[in-house]
Amino acid sequence: MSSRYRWVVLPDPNRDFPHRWTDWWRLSAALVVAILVAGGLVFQQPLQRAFTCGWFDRSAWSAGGECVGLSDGSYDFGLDRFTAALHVIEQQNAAAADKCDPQGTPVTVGVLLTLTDRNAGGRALHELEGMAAGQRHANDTGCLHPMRLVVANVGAYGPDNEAVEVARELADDPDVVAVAGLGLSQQRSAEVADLLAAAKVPMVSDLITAEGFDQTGSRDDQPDFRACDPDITYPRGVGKDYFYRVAYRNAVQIEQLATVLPGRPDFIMVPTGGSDPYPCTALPMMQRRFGGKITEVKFDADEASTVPLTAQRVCGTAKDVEVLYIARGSDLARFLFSLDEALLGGRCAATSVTVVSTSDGLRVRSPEDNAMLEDLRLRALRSQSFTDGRIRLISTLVSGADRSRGDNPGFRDLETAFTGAGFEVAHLDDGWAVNGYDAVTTISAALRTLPSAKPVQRSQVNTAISGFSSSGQAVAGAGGPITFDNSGNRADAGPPVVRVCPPRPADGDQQARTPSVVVRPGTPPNC
Amino acid sequence: MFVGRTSVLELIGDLTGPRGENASADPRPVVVLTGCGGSGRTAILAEALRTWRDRTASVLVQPLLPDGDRTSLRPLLTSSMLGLGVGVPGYSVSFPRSLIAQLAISANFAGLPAGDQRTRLRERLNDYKRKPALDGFLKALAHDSFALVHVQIPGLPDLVPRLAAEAAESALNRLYRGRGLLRFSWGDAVDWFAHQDQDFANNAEETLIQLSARAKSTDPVVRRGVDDVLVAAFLADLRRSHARVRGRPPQMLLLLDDGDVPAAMTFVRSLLRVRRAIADSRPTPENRLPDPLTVVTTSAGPAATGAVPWPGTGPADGPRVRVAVADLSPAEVVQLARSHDWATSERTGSVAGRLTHGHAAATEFVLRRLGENPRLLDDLGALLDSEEPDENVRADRHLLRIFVRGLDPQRTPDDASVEALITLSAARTWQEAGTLVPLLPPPFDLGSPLYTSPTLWAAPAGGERRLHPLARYLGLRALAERPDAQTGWEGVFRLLRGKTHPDDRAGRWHHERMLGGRAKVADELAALLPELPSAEWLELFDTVVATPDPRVTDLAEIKGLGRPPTPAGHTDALLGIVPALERDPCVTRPEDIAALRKLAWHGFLRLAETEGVADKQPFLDRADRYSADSSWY
Repeated sequence: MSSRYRWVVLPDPNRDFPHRWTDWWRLSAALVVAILVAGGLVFQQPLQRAFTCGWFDRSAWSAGGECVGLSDGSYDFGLDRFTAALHVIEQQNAAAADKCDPQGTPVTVGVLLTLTDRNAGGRALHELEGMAAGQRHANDTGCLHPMRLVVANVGAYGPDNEAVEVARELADDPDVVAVAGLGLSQQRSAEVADLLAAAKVPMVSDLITAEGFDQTGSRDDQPDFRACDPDITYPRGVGKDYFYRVAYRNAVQIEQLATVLPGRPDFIMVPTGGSDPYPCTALPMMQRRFGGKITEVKFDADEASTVPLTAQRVCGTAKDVEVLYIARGSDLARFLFSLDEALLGGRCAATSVTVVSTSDGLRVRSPEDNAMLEDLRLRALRSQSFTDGRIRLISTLVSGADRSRGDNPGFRDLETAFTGAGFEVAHLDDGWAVNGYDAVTTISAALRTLPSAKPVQRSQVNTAISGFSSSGQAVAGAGGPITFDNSGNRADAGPPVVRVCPPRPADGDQQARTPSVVVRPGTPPNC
Repeated sequence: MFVGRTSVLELIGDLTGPRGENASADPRPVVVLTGCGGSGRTAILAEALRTWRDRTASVLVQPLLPDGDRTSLRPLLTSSMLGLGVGVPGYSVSFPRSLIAQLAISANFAGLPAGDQRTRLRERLNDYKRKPALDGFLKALAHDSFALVHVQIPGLPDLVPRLAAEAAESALNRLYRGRGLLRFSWGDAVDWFAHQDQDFANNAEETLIQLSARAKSTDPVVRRGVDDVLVAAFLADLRRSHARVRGRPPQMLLLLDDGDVPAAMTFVRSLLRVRRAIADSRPTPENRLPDPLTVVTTSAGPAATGAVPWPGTGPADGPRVRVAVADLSPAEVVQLARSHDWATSERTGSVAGRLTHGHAAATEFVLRRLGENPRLLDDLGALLDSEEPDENVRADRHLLRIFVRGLDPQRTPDDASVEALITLSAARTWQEAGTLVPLLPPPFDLGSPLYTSPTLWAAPAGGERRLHPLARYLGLRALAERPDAQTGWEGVFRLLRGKTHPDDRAGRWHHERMLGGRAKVADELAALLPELPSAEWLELFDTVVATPDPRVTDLAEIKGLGRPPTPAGHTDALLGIVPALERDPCVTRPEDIAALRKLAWHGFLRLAETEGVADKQPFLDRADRYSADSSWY
């Protein structure tokens, strides 16, 4: 019997009788399948977003093997260690308007950060906690516009360019009037900043310290980008007119280090490669600031075994060795541990080693979320050489302050909000919580300048932030008064330089704190 | 289980299948399946219905016993209309013209002035546009028709009340296009009665009023006119319905059983007349629409008179085609036997086939009996002598009745006809049977269907017309038992022997042998051995042994034991052995057959050695047929 169908699905008009309506099932099924397939193709992205990382929740999706996207706190991106902090944000969002001016316009502030990047490590949680504390403070006494946070996780800067996609989601949300945090010093962050600036979203970055990451491309510092990747955009500046950062840029940090340590360092430890904007811009600046032609000791950040070898090299001369460390903080613990092993094993000729790092070195002050890194960190900090001062770690404070001093009344507010939210104060040591808090607080301060009866617009917030330019209008940040220069950088003199001290033993139910002492020119820093 | 008849079914399939792109719109011929009683014509119709029931509008109608002289085709026509109206999905058939005609006929215009008659007609047609009214009318119509005609409509129940209700419902749905409409329009259906697709220029309403008046007439000429209008309306409805169907619709299949019933014959004649008239009319777009009706009917002969015989293959042509329903082939009988008992089917099939010669109803009966009681395989005589519980007669009578019943449209079991058939079964040919007709009691004469039937006295392959072999054998068995001197065995064969042509020594010897003169015939035949060429002698011998003698059942007698070893003695033995072996279906025991075959082989070899036989080869060839190793069964 010949087929009753043409092209498999279309009922042949000359087919044998009976002509039942069920003959059209195939065609209907084919059409449905075609529509589904076409729909699946057209709506591929929304569908993929809807069915990954939270069912029927399009705000978060899977990219590069992890969940990225937006969360109002109810969704934890599948990362258990952030659940508590996100839960706090969710609760604070729900209670945002409780203490605010009833006439105020509820606004949403995006907090854009990486929860999983290897260069963030355990500090990502501290950053998020700082931001949550900032929100808590913002919605407290004096609040005009209730502030809700939406957490934007850009993930580990994978190959899918998801950071830009996440930022686009933020920019497309009309409720978002500003963005706090912008991730790390990465080319992706430059693209994110440009995208948000195009959407007129003011952004206050909390952690980006690399040169080039301001509105002018750090023109005044005359950075040297030749060691960096060729296809970068940040030398021309990022987020024109809308980008501000509360973290002190490398040029200022290096200047502060040079002021405190006038001598000529013996080595500069740098990682190979140029994809990381932080070391690639800092290295020429350090060489220039410390007199040039300092011996560069290179190691491969991807190959842990190269770190002990560099330690050997540093140990070569019998004197007090000073090493400039501008690699990532994640490798620092291993380096310190290797130095200690060399000193204890008698394989080190040096009498002492002073490791001088920019602010990323402070990473060793806070607990890691990776068990191996945490083990290395504790071994390094509790090692005999570190404890007795033969190995010293000198670093700049990325936040400007790590405890309450005379000039930063905001730190008390931070501690109050931090403990009020149920976070551990030990998380303040590495400075990221302080910077997260300051970024949110800056936006909060801008919002408090806007009249409560009128709706809040992005450009109004931007104008208000740009107005924090003189000490009279400074934002009372936890790390000190915050003012911005024309490029969007912190306008004040710079962060203090500290020596990281050996950790105190754990005190009761409190986590062990790693204290620091401020290093001043001429006086030996004693813990 | 249905076996065989593939060529007939293929023909029906060809005539029912859709017309090609540029095929002619001419009507397809009416197929008349002819065959004697029990030849399986109705089974073919049922099989055709089963084949086509899902693929086209189809219906199987059987006119029931006509009451008195009622020969009206109207119940038949209405039943066909309602049956076809059920259709299949995508193939809907509606009958507005036929309905209008029925509405007009059932109206009473008597005694009204002409103007009022028209008004009444219009009122009536308007009234029946309402669904409930039409529904009631259709149900009543269906009920009345199905009382007179047994209808099998695919997919509908068999019991008349439900069948009538559902057929009416279906017809109603077609007119109202499902349930979409509350009222419908008769459209141009009324106007059709003005021209009737035959280019008439009548007044439509006048025609309908006259139709109503004439329908009650008993004058056959007037009734014929009414019939033609009804059939033309029926055809017109079919043509238009068919033209509306999308795709390439097959023909509508009207299977008309018992085509010899007057109503059926009237219908077919009227159909052919109307088709002829339409073909002869001036062509209009509507009357040149393809004629979508394929009619297959059955007949024992009368209804097939004048039909064009179908050669057996190829296309059928002409207004009516006669298709002889052949007996089942031995292979088909074996196949049927398999459905009863798979294990012993080969032997069962061949035993049954030898008895029935493939006669469908008898084969079915014998196979069923053998399946029930396989021991009867060794004793077919007992099978034939046993009681048929349904009819309270012996099985052989029951089988003879099947033949006789086919001759009578009323299908009544008629013992007088059976007895007459028994008398006629002595005749070897139809010619010879003529000489026996005077023996039959009134009302049988040379005009009786028993003698004239072309299906009972068929001439297969163009030979002489002979009685069906099964009927003949059963008749001979019954004749042997008949005590009456004049119409008993002796009387009948004596008469036959007496009427044999003087030159026909084979015929005379045949009858002589049947009368017990076996030794005498043997002597005469043996005497001819040296004179005649061997082949001619064997031909003569074959004619003499053409009929089995059911009276001789003693195996020793059949074998001719004790005959002297002379040519006459051998011939004598062979005169007993060969008919039993070749013609008597009751000889079924394998050991008997083997013994008889051995004796036959021996006998023919001895004849070959007879002095004076010039050409021994034909005898040796003949002996060879019975040699032990050739497979028989």
